[in-house]
Amino acid sequence: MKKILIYTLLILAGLPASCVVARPAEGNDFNARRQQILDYYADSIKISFNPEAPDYSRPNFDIIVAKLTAGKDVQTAIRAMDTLMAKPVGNMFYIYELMGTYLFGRKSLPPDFGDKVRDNLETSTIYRGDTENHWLQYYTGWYLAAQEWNVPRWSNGKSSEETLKEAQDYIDHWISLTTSLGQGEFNSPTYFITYVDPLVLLYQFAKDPLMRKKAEMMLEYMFADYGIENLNGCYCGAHSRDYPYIAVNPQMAQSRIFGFLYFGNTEFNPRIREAISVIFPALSSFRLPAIIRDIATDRSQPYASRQRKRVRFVIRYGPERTPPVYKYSYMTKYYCLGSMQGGILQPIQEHVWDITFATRRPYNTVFAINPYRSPKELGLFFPEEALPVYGFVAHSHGYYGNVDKWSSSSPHERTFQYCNTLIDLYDLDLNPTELWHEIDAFFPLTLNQFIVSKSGWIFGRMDSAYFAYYPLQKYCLEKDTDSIQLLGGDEGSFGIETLDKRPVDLRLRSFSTANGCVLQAGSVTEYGSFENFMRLVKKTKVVFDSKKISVKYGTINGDQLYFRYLNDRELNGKKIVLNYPLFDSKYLHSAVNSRVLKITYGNTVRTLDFNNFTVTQQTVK
Amino acid sequence: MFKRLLMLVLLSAAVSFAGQRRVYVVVHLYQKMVVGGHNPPAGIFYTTDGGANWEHLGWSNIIAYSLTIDPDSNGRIMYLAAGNGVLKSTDAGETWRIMTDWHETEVSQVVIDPGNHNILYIATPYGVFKSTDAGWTWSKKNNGISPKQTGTTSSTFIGPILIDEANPNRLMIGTENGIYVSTNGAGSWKPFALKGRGVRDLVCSKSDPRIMIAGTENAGIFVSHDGGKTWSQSGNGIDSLAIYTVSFDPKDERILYAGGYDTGFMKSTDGGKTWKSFDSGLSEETIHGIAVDPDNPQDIYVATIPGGVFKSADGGKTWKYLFLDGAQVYSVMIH
Repeated sequence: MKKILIYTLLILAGLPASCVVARPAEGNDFNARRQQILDYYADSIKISFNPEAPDYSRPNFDIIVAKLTAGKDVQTAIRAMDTLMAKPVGNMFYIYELMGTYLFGRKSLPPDFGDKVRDNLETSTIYRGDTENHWLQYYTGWYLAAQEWNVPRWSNGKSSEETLKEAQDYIDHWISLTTSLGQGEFNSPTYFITYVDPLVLLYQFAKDPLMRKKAEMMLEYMFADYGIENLNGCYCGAHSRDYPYIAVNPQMAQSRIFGFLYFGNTEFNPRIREAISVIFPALSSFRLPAIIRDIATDRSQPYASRQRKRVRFVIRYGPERTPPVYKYSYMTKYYCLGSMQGGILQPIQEHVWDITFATRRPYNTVFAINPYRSPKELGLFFPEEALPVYGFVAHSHGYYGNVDKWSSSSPHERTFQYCNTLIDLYDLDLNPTELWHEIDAFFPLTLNQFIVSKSGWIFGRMDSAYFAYYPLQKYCLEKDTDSIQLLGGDEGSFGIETLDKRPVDLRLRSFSTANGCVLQAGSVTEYGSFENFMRLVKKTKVVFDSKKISVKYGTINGDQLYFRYLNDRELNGKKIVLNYPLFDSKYLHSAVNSRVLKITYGNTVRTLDFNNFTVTQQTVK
Repeated sequence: MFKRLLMLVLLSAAVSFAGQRRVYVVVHLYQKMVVGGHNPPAGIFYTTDGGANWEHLGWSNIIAYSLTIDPDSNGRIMYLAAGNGVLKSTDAGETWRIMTDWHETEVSQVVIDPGNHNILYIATPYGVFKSTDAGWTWSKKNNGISPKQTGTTSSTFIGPILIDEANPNRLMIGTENGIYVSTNGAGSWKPFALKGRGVRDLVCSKSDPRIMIAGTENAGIFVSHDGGKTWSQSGNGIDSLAIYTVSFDPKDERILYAGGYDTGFMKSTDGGKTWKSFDSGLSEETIHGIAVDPDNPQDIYVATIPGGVFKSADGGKTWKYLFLDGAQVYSVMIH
């Protein structure tokens, strides 16, 4: 297994269908990008009432609003809206999308259409959902409805006055919690859009100027958060929630479409699943301050970022309701290495660490996981009975019960990262209710070079970025067999035509109980050629104690790291205490409970103060 | 001393306003539910003909847990414990209002104070909430069970709530960290029994309230004969240790019923010393709710996950599928 293998890996003969991109807008002009989006959705998709038609062309609010606002196929769009309202889905997605579509599109709607929408919400009951993004959508929808019409009794049984007050109260609570202790569904390449869209609606349509201000500031907050961890639009590092097909291919993340619109650092790719969710932001008059675009795109100098977020509410089996999540990322022009401390911080879809490469190639990432499932994991977060809830989860997230999945939380993993070095340790001492006893690492076939060295290191290069992965235990490498179900995708899903059914990676499997890896990242800027990088890494020394489950490692940069599983993290002999602020980097600063975010770029400092909802920006001499 | 769980009181209460007993079931969700998609109706279903025909009542797009009917309302005042909070109807389920706001969520049970029907308690994964005005306002009642006080969030994951009918200010709650007791109307809680156990159901005998049964998450069934002070594990005949529902036979309290994860229908005829599992005709063996017809205890209904509703006409020996295959039916009650 440890013989030298040199794969001259794949410059794919042609990118797969899912990576074909539309013509990029020229330059970084926001309006051009915005118009490109609006034109594409107004012109390129025809609404079909055929139930056999693909998802994206059947009546849905996003395509309806694109047509209404562009004044194209208006009668068809109105008919499509009537169709949706005739059989309302009745949940948080429905109410905010209905209100957003009505409010953006009302100039093209008949004068009495507002009465129809109001009547619809007086009778259609709305399920609130059970996650933070669900609740923000639910309360945004009700907020907009309740301020629009003074109704004595909505379908929730409450008046407009009561409903507006409750909605505002929750939105205020969410803002306060997020800016005090960090976001719960943090840094999610998938769920990012589910926060941006309702906030954009509040910014655009709240009649209360203060609510508009709050929404604007939260949008800036979220884009600053995304900005410092994105590389050409790809959301890098650790994520609270990620579908497996995005974990293995960051190029296909929904957040990337927002990178296109607001940062201009990537191309418009309408084949990204649910890319059309960008329609409300594209219609909105919200504009991102230049300073946030600057921090999102300036990769001229590497930087480290420390962050604190929140664990999803732990409803049982844990000592705290919402313990802290500690994140660390190291961003360079050619790659980003990012991680969080490990453990069960979110159910099902956690993504603990990765290296993401700056490239146009698909599958531009390397990471490892312990594929894990247990009733306890589900019981920590879901109010249903812990044992039978598995059947439901296994249906809604088909990959959950599969050992080959690529998204997973695990209580048996902990990490320690410093700059471009990561130590990832596992203690796979499972109890009988837990599965599985292995760790898996993902190495994409799209790497330019992949070398298994006699030194014990596995090396790889993607364009100008390098990595060296040192498995701590015996392993095997196998060509993977990915399936759509395993990746959490769906052929019929909105905007996406196919996911790759062919193998896209080499999978490392390792079955030892005390386990893990050392990951050393680098690039041409830091270490010159790939050969030189390999030479330097081979000089480093990994000392693994399988009894203590600890690693001593002198990094390629000469730093001494020591990490013992569930115990000490030491850098050059000094203990590292995980007690990070909400943000701590050269670009972002925010202390816990301060409710103030300071954004710095060059001499410019922009301060978002959520205590009094003021924004100040000044140039420091 | 403790009377029975209010839900069971309701089961044996007078006939409904329609002059006929109704069997209500509450669908939590469907196994194949698509979040955000069109799904079959969940929430409340009822039958008035022993299960041959069913009607849906109220909200259909909801995640719900259990139904409580005010015993003095002639079946008109209903509370639905749901993900959206507490829904209340004052017209027998025709119209509903969400009585709670965002502070109260994932409500699994509503319990009415037998002495004052304006006083309500609700069980949530975030603790106990109380209303003294029939649900219009709520306050959190976690003094003594908050994670900061107990060191675990399990103490606020509330399952059953029991009210002492003789002294309604005395309550017991089953939590994921054992049983807690309050003697001041939930003003404060103290640890009482089964510390560290996930208590998923808790009932006491109507004729002798000192006899109590607890179903637990991972340790099976416990029986107490001294009002909960001491407990013994009732292990004989129990295979699965995850017990979600326990109850007494309404006419012979030596007969006990229980169900849980993959248990089938469990019955004891000796006060919980030994148990026997029945599954003939029961294609789904995970049981979350049991209701025994107070007029004819041979008629028993079970709510299963995710196999729908089954009925036995011979005291649980054999079963017949009725309705809602694929549904996680969380509770069943007869009113």
